[in-house]
Amino acid sequence: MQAGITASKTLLQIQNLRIVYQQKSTFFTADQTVHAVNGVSFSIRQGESFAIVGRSGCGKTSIAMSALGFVKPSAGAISFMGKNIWQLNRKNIRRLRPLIQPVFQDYGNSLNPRMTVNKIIIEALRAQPNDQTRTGNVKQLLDTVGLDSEIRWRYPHQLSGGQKQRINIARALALNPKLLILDEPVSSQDLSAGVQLIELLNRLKQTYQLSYLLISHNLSIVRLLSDRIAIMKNGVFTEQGPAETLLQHPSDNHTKELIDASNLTNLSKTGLV
Amino acid sequence: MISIILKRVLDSVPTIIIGITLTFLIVHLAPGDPGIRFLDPSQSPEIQQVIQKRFGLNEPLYIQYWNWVKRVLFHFDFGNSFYNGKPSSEVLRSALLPTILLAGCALVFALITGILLGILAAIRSNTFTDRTITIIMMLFFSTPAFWLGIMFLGVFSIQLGWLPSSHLTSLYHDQLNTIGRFTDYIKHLFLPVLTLGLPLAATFFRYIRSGVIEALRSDYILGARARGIGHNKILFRYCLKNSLLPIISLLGVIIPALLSGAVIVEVIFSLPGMGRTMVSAVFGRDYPIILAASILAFFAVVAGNLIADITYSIIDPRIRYQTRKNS
Repeated sequence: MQAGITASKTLLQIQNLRIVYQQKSTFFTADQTVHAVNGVSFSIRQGESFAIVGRSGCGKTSIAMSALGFVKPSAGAISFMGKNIWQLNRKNIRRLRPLIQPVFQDYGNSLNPRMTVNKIIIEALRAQPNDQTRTGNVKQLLDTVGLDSEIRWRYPHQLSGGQKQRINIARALALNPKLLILDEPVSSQDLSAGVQLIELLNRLKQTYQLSYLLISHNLSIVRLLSDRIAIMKNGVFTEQGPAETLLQHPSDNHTKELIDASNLTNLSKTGLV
Repeated sequence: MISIILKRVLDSVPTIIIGITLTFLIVHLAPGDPGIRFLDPSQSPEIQQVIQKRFGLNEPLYIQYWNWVKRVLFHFDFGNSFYNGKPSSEVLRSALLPTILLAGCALVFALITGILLGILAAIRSNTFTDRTITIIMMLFFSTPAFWLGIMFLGVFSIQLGWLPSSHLTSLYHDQLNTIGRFTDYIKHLFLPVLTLGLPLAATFFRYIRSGVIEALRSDYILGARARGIGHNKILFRYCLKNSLLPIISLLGVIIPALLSGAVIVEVIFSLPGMGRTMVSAVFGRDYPIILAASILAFFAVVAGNLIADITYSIIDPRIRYQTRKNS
């Protein structure tokens, strides 16, 4: 698989990305500048899974938000399929958007509480640009993520956490994406539901040649899903490389700390590690 | 759904009974006597007794209450006004239209203003526009209606002379054509509607602003943006619809506020509505009018809450599911 990925074309390329948040002064506080991301570069090829691992507040979600087109970089370039997404006009960026789909950590908050599963997925199918073929109907999408088609008449509050996250994945698939941005996709799940989701994500990756940008603080999850890993601290990558090499021979102390902190023993019981 | 409505209607029966009984007791136990209003203080106690007997006020309180309940329940008769002898229902019917007009216009004005300004402030959150709108709305929120009404009267009616200061229509209203009559109504209702509507608009504004800000930050909105759904569709179809939910439950509570606000506004602008009728009835101890108006107010409040509950359960599937599970 590694050889195949190396031969495939680059999907997302991020060069020297800097994200700075300006906080305006108030009556009690002075102006504040937060350097969330400080010169980060990486690329993701088609069918490849790249993980950014770091503690909360290190800047990994800012990178994801910037790649989704929600947070404007202060410097650097983000190219998707060879096009700098921050230089595209509104029409072109709307065309490009379905190809990069997010799957959020808070699965409950990512589904509109007033819509049935059917409506949620149909809404995504309708959002597809006209010049693309639709992936399939709601039943097929639910089947793809391992859910019974009867679930489509339910509302989000009538679903379990695992089911909600699968609906999020099905909705993302409805748009025929090339890249999924997975922001802590299994962190709110229990162990068995988390493992099932990882299996699903791995299967989808193989079937649809999907690329993943995985954001996580947990190396044990990342290990099961990613081909390459970058370790992030205070807005910069401290170390990056192929998953197995980095986890078995970490060179940076921060990486060693994260490996120690991750709960690998529990996952080893599942037989996946 | 029908069983839920029936359950809610039956739940509200004790509320109405308790409310009306308390009103009856408060009105009758309050100092003062309707008979005194008709008499010269020098008249003999015998004459006073004749008047009390004429109004049925010489009986013990529980018998008065029972007689009144029987009349209302079995004959739908709320009694006649002690002053003009007209049936209470007739007096209230003529007073109801101006109040409905005033409260309805104020509610529509408040909803439109509160929702539009709430959305504008939310999408321009933490900017000069947001802060300016928020400060102005907070000013209206914290200003008492009577003071606002008096200020509007002083500036727009007395100083500038732009708008009439009292009554629902002009003296020459009947001689006007249809457009003229309509304009006449608008001119007379403009200041009362502003007085009653602005504090209400500020209440709605607060809910809509915070609701839209919260919705805009939620993941399902980020997801919708990531799917390439347009800004306006996201704002009105997702954010606003979900932010309107608290407003619906608020509408049930707003009705008593509208009625009590209407009392003050009608007195300030001399509008011949329920509020003014009720104030004069209270001052004159016109028991049948006070009690009939109270029943009407209780029904309005209960109906408002019932409609809000039902609408909420129709719009929000989470509530519908919960209600079904509980019932």
